[in-house]
Amino acid sequence: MSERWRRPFLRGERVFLRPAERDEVGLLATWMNDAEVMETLGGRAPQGDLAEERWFEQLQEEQGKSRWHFLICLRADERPVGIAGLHSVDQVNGKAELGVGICEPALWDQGYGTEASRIAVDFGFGELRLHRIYLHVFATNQRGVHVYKKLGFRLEGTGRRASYHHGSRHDVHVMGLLRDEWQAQTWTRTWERT
Amino acid sequence: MDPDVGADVTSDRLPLPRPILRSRRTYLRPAERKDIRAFLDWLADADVGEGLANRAPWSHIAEERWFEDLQPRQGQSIWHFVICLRHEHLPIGFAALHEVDLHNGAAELGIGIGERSEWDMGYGTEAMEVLLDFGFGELRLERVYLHVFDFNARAMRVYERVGFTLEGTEREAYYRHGRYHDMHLMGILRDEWAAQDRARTWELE
Repeated sequence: MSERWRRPFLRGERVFLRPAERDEVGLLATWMNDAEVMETLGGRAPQGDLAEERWFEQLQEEQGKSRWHFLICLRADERPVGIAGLHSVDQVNGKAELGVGICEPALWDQGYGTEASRIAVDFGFGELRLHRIYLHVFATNQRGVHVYKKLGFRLEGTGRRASYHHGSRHDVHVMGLLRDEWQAQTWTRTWERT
Repeated sequence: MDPDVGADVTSDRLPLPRPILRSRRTYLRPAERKDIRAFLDWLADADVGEGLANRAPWSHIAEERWFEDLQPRQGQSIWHFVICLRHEHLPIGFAALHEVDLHNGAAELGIGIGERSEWDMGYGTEAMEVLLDFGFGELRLERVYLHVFDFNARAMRVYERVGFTLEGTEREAYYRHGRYHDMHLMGILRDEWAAQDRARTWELE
């Protein structure tokens, strides 16, 4: 256990969020090459290390400005298990897009994604002064839709045939959560966690 | 290249060639540096800016920078055009496909008539049909979508007439004039465009 993550800023009961470091680019590339993981994240083709490195360098320019990208880590052993972030951060209109994925399939369906989403949502409303957080989810990803609904997101619309993969066209839902809806949620905010 | 090269002045044909992207009364052409002045005039008009995501007046230098930034993206992630009247080659507005995503076959449409004296003449409708013909007929798109503010009912009617379907409403997604507004998402699919009974841009005189 490192000193650094003794008490992380962005913490839930079992997970915390922190930025990715350069020596983790290989791990990210491993996830991005996992067909099962990419099924919901929307990746089409394998990515080489060089592409992933380039992506990482680009991310450094955007981190804290137009996006906040984090790794989801287990509090128990600090192991990175997924990614969570706010993208397309638009401080004029007060909105950003949420993206979350647990990239270790063995850890699916244990509520880690829900927990990480809550932390990212708390961060967006509680620290970034956002008014609205929205997301896009494949209409076929019922597990994802279920999780987001549980968090308070409402289905606002469906971009018909907005994505092409696996030989056919797929609908993509838009879901949104407004600031006062977040305030009405009773979960423990990330800053109230021990 | 000299635009007059190749024009046959001895024939009865017009000295200017038939524009590639044309409707009955309008045509679309790429923006030139000389258009910057007209863009600035349009963007300085509060009523024009109302339907666009334009909050403050632009300077000449900012518009020049926008124009320079546009050049490497033109034909890649964006196709931006100036709407001109065919009978006098007068620029009256702009029409664009942006967020062009050829993997998924989708792009977002944006349009504005900047010359307020040309409003309510149906030019926007014509230009949108040309742009849809271009997107579906030349770029092999599957879907064209757009966002329209909830207070812009007139534009919504035009989009519906052109064939767009309301797909959803992004709540309080736009902050303007001291409060949040909803943004409607509208889309038209390839087979809906194909079913339209009207002449395509390439079939028109």
